Amino acid sequence: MDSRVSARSQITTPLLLSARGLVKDYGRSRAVDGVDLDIPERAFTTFLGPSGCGKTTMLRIIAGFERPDAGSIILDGKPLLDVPPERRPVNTVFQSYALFPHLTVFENVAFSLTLRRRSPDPGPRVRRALETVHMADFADRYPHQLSGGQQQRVAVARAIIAEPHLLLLDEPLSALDRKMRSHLQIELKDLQRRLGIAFVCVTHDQEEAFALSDLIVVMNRGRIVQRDDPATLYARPANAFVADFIGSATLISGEVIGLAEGATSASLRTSLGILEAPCVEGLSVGQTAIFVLRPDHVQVVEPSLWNNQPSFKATVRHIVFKGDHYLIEAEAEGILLVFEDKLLLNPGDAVMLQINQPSCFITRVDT
Amino acid sequence: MNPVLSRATLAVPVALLLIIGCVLPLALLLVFSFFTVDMDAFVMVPDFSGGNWLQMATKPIFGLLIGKAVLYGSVTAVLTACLGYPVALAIASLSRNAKSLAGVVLLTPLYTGEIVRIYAWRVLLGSEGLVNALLKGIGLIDEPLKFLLFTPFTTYLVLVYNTLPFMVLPIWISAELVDRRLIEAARDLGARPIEAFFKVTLPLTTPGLAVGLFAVFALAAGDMLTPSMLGGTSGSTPMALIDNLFGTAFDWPLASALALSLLMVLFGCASAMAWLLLRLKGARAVLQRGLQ
Amino acid sequence: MRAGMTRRELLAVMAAAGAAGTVARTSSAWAAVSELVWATWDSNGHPEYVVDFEKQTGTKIKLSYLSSEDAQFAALKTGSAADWDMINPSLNGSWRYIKAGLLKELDLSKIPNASLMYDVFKTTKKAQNEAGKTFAIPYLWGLNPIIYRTDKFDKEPDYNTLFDAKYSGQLAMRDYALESIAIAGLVAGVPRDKVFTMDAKELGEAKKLLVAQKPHLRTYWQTIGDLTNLFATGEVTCAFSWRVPYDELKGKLPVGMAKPKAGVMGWCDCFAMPANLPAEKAEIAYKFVNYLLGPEYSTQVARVGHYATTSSVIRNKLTKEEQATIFIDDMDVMKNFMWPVAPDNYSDWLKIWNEVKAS
Repeated sequence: MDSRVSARSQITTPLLLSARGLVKDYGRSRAVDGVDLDIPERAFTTFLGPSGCGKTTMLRIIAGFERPDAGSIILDGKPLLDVPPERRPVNTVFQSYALFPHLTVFENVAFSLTLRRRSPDPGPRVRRALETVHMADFADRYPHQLSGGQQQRVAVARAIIAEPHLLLLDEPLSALDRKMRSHLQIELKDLQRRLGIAFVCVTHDQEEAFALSDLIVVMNRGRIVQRDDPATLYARPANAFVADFIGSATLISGEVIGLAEGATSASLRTSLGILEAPCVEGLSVGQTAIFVLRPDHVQVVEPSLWNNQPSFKATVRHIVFKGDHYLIEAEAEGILLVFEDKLLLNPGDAVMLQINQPSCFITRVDT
Repeated sequence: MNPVLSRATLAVPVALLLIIGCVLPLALLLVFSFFTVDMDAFVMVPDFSGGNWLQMATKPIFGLLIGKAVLYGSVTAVLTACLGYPVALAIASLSRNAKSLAGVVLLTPLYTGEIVRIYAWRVLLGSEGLVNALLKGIGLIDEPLKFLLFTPFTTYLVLVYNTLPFMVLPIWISAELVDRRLIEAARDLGARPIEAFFKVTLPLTTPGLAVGLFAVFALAAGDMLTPSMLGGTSGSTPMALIDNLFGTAFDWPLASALALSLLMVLFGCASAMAWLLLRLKGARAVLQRGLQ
Repeated sequence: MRAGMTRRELLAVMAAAGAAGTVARTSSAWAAVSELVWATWDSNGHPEYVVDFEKQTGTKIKLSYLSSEDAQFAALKTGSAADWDMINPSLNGSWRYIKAGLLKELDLSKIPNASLMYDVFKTTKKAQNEAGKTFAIPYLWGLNPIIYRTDKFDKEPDYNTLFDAKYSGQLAMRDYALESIAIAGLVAGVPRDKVFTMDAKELGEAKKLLVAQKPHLRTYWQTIGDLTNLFATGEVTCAFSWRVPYDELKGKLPVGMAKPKAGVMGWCDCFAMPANLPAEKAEIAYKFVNYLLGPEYSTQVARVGHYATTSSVIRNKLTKEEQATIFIDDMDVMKNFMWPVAPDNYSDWLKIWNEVKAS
C-alpha cells in the first residue's frame, strides 16, 4: 500500500461536529437512517452518494432547515439541534445559489451584516469578501446580470462574510459547465485553505469530491457506507457499492478460499481463475467476496513480456477513443473487463490480458 | 422576425377591442363635455365656453363625490391588503389538496349575485338580523346595534368582503413564486423569521400586492350598489349622480364632464400607486426575472 | 349634422344595455297587421290582460318589456327601436318625446273610449304639444302613498312625519331627487302646483329640511323591492313609497297607506305611437288604445294588478273595496294630485340632492 495513503487516512485534527444516531423520515420513506458522523476542524469534507441517499437531508439538518426525528449533534462542544438556523455558526452556499434577486451583489453580501444593525459600516468587510472571490467590480450588479460562475462566487462571499465555523455547500458547482467547474474547484479548495475553516460539501459527482475533499463520506440509502480520504476510498472500497460508485471498476464475484498475512490478503476463486489481492477486514473462508479491478490494473501482454502473473484470453468488444489512450472493453469467460491501453485494437481481436493483482482489492458484497 | 414583436402581434385583436371599447367612448365623452343642452329645442348644441368643466372646478359637490369614491377605493384597498396578505401567505403554505379547497372557498362568494349578497348582509346585520339577535341572546346588548347596517361601517365591511378574493389571489400567486430557498438563505444568514419576511417575502410579493391594490381600488371606487344599498344615508357616489344626469336630467354634457373627471382622478391615483410600487426593488426584480 | 351623428353613436353605447334585447328581435314587417309590438312595463302587459284584444281583432300583441324610461327614450331617439309599434311614455315625461318629435299625432275620433276618461286625464295638457295637439293617451295610473306600520303610529302620518325626530331611525325616503325635494318643498310650505318650479330660495329651504332630515333616516331606498325588504325586516316603519310594499305585506304585517292632504304624488302611463308608424299599423293601434280604455283591460288590471285605468268604464261595476284598493272610491283624490315633472334645471336639483346626501 502507498505510504501517502495511510498517512492521510489518519486525520488527527480535533473534531468540530459530532452527530449520533440521526434519523429523519419524510412520510413513509426514511431519508436518514441512523447516521453517526464526525467532522474534523479545518478540513474539506464531502458527502457523496447517488440522489436520494440522504446527503442533502444531512446538510439541511446541520443548517437547521430540518429537524431530525432522532439523534443529536454537537457543534463546538455544544448541542446544536435546539438552536434556530439564524443563530448557528454555520452558513450555506445553496444549490443554484439562492441569491436575493431584489438586492445588488453588495447588498446580498452585506445581508447578514445589516441585520439588526450588527455592523455600522459593512462596506469594507463586504469589499474584502468580494475581493476574496474576485467579484469586487460587480458590487452594483443585480444577480440576474451575472453568469452562473459569478453568482456562485457571490453566494460564497455572502456565506463566508459572517465568519462561520462551518461552511455548507449544496452541490455548489452542479449548475456550471465543465470548464467553469474545474476552475472553481481549484478556487474553492484554495479558499478553504486560506480561510482555515471547515467546509462540508454535498455532491453526487465523484470527480468533484476527489478534487475538493480531505475526507469523503459515502452515503447510500440513508446510511454512511464509508468515511475515508479519497485515495483510501479508491484503493480500498468498503464494499461493492463504493467500488462501483467511485471511479470505474470491473467487479468480479468469487468465493474466498484462503486468507493470508493475518487476514489482510485473500485468495478468491472466480471464473477467471484464482485471484489474490489485499482484502477488507473481516472476511472468512467460504464467503462470497468481490474482486475490484480498476482499469489501470489490467494490461495487454505480448507473449515476450510474460511474467509469473497468470494471464487469460479475452475478446475485444468495444473501443472508445480518449485522446492519449483508448478505453477498451473486452470479454473473458462471460465477464466484461474495462481497461486502458495506448494500442489500437479492433473489436473482435483476441488478446492476452494480465492483472496486476497486488494493486487490486478484495471487498465485501453489499450489506 | 423579432420574437418579442411576433408575440406582441397576438395582442393586436384585443388591443383593437380595447381601443374601440374604451378609447372611443372616452373620446365621445370628451366631445360631449363641450356641448350644452338646449332645453327648449331639446337638443344638444356645441358650447366651447367650457361651462361644464367650470362647474366641475367650482362646485364643491363634484369634488366631494369624487373624493368619496377615492376614499372608498383607497380605504378598502388598504384594509383588504392588511387582511388579505396573511390569508394569501397562509394559503400558499398549505398542502396541495388544502390549497385547491382554499381556492374554491375563496372564490365561492363571487358565484353569488351581488344583489343576493346585499340582501344576505341585511339579514345578517339588520336591527332584527342574526348578529343583533345573537348578541341579544347571549345578553351582551339590550338594544340592537344600529351602526351595523346603513352606515359607512357597513359599506367598508361589504366592500372588503366583496374585493378580498381579488387581493388574495394575486398575492397568493406571487407568494407561490417566491423560492423557498430564499427564505432559508435569509434565515441561514442570521435573519429571524420576521426579518426574513420583511427583507425577502414582502419585497418579492409586492407585484401581487400591487395587482391586488389596483383591482380592489378600482372595484371599490367604482361600486355604486354597495354604498347605495347598504351604506344608508351616507351612500352617495359619483356614479349615481352620473347615472341620474345621463338619465332623467338629460344633461349629458355635465354627466360627461363628471364621468371624465372621475376617470381622470381614479386613473391619476392608480398611476401614482403604480409609479410608487414599481420603484420598489422587489417589484422590479420580479418583473425583470419574468422578462428574462 | 356631425353632432347628431356622434350623439346617435353615444346613445347607442349608452342605451345598449336597455335596448339590446329589442334591437336583436327579428322584425317581420310583412306581418304588420297580424302583429303589433308594444313596448311597456311588464306589470302593464301581462298576456292575460291583452288576450281578449287578440281574440277580437286577430292581431297578436307582442310585448317588449322596458327596463327604464330613460332607456325607452334613448332607444327611440337613436332609432334603435325600429320594431316598436306602440310605446309607453310616462305622462310626466311625455313632453320630452313630444318636443323631440318622436310621437305620432293622435286622432281622438278614432278612440271612442277616450270620452270615458276621468276629467283630470281628459284635460291634461301634458299629452299635448304647445299647439294643443294630442300625442299620448294616459291609460294607467296610481298613487305613490306613504306606507307605514299601523302598530307604530297613533295617527295617519303625513309628509311632516317623514321629518319628525320622534321617529328617528325608522324613516326612509326614496333616493330620487325629484320626489324627495318636492316633498321637502311641500313641508316648507310651497304650494303643490309650484313645487316642481321652485325658485332658488325655495330650493334652499327644501335643501335645509332634507339635510336636517338625513340623520333621522334609516336609509334612502333604491328600488321598490328594496323598500319592501326594509319594511319586512323591520328596519323602516314609515316611508314615502309606492303601493307595492302594501300589497306584498298586507296580511303579514300591520301596514297602512296614507295619502297626505298636502298633495299626492301620482304616476300615470301613456299610450303613444312612434312618429313614423305606418298607417295600416296605426289603424290597429287605435283599436288597441281603445281596448286599453275599455272594460276588459280595466277589469283585469284592477283585479289582478291593483291598478286603475284612466277610464271610468267599470268603476260602477266594482265593489267599494275594489274601488278603494285602486284609489277610486273617493274621487276627491284627483283634486290632490301632483304629477312630478322634471324641471328644466333638473341638473341643479340633482346637485342639491347629492349635496344633501354627501353632507
